[in-house]
Amino acid sequence: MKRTIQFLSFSALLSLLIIGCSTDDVRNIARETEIVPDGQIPGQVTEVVPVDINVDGFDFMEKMQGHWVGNNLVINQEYPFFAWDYRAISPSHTFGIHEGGSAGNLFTSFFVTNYKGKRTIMARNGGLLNGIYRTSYFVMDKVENRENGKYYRLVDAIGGDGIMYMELRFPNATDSIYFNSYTSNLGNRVPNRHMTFKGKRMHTELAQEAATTTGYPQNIVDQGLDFSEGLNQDFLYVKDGLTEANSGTFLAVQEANNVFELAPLSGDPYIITDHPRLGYLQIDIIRGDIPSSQPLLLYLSRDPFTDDNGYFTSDIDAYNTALHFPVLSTEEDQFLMTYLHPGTYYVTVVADMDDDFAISEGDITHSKRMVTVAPEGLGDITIDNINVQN
Amino acid sequence: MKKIIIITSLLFTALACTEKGPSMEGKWKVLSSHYKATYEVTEENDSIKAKALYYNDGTTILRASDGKDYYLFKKPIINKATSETTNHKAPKKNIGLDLVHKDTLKVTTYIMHSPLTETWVRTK
Repeated sequence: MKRTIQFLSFSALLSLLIIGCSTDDVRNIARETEIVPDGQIPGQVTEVVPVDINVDGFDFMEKMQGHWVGNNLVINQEYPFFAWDYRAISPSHTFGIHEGGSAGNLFTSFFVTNYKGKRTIMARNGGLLNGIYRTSYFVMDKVENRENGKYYRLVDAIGGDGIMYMELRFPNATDSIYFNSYTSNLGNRVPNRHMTFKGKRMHTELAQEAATTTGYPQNIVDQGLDFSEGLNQDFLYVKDGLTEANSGTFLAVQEANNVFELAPLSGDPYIITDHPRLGYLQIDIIRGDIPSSQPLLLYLSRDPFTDDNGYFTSDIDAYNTALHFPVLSTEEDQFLMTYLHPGTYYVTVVADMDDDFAISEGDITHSKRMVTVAPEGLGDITIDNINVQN
Repeated sequence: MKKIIIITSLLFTALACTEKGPSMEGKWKVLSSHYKATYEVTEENDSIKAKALYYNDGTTILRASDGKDYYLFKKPIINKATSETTNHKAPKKNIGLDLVHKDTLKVTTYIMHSPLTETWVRTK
């Protein structure tokens, strides 16, 4: 008995020592991660010097058009499929949006303007998320002809690259794009990677038609988009603890996720109703036997995703024509698509039965449905008979 | 005699444990379909650093030869058991490093409190 106790004590002690050793390989380190140049101060406002597009950079407007299909990493969220649908909405303004559905949306539009005494290009980036309306203005401050393509940078119109910026590169002789953004949470840290998108230009006739209709691109300034007097400081968002704005950002918050109420409240000088050509689509969904708690995937595409019988098409290329791919995850049966390019769309609702947020075997859908949205129009469509299990 | 053997065995085990496991120090390549990066991890005086030797996300390219030192992290090691510390405002996430194999490192970084876990593999 004594020997047994001695052996057990020895074994227990040995085990503790071994366990103590093995935990040494997990490390947790204080504070958030960031790519920090040695000695740089987080969130520091830097000078903004716009590019003069009369010298170089106007070609960006031509390059940016297209249905960009690829993949994306947004903060920590990986999207194996992602797309931006950039089309002209005026002779000097091109617009693209990611409509996330229940989660909200995020747009970035690029337009010709005047800022700080230069004819240049600016971007509006923002959207609506959980009752928060945000729009941030960026200015093109770098254009470079690199060995691996043409590179453009747009920085926060007030805070410069110390607050946030976006970079775009179009590789030589290829229809592809790298579109990345870097943010600092409005100055809380050195800007680090926020969005990393790479894609290929596809289905060019969509953007080409819009360009032909609007006479795009031209080096002129749209009504309401001349910022030669700068951004109105009275309405810029001022972060807690600061006495003046460190970013060209307009912000409004209220409980209801209503862009038509929030946009005017934010002081944003250019709001949803100012956009030429963009329309809306009201989508009503009759779930039938699909439980209200079942997330719905919603697709707006150039080509149909389903056949006349409601089965997913075997034409793999059709899936790359997805222009919008919101997810309705909060028991929604209707959705208003906003900031929508006019045109004809196939609308597909998919009951995501395995909750994998992708089209897959077992998902339930319906026969193909098409709708047309007129310029600045409000289209509507009701999707019913969602009862074909693939 | 048996006591001597037991004590000697324990001492050997304890001495073995004073040496750390496989080191995280070295050059590591990030396995990502979104960007390319190689970091050099060094440990010194209870702190750990990951210096960018090469970083390329398609638009930003950083090289060790640029003349500036860029760090993904350069932090003191504060604990080994938890993934959060707390302060008077809100819980703050940390970086997590898990050496799953001597040549494979699982790295969890946080952007806006959202975790991103990546696999790094040791490179020459």
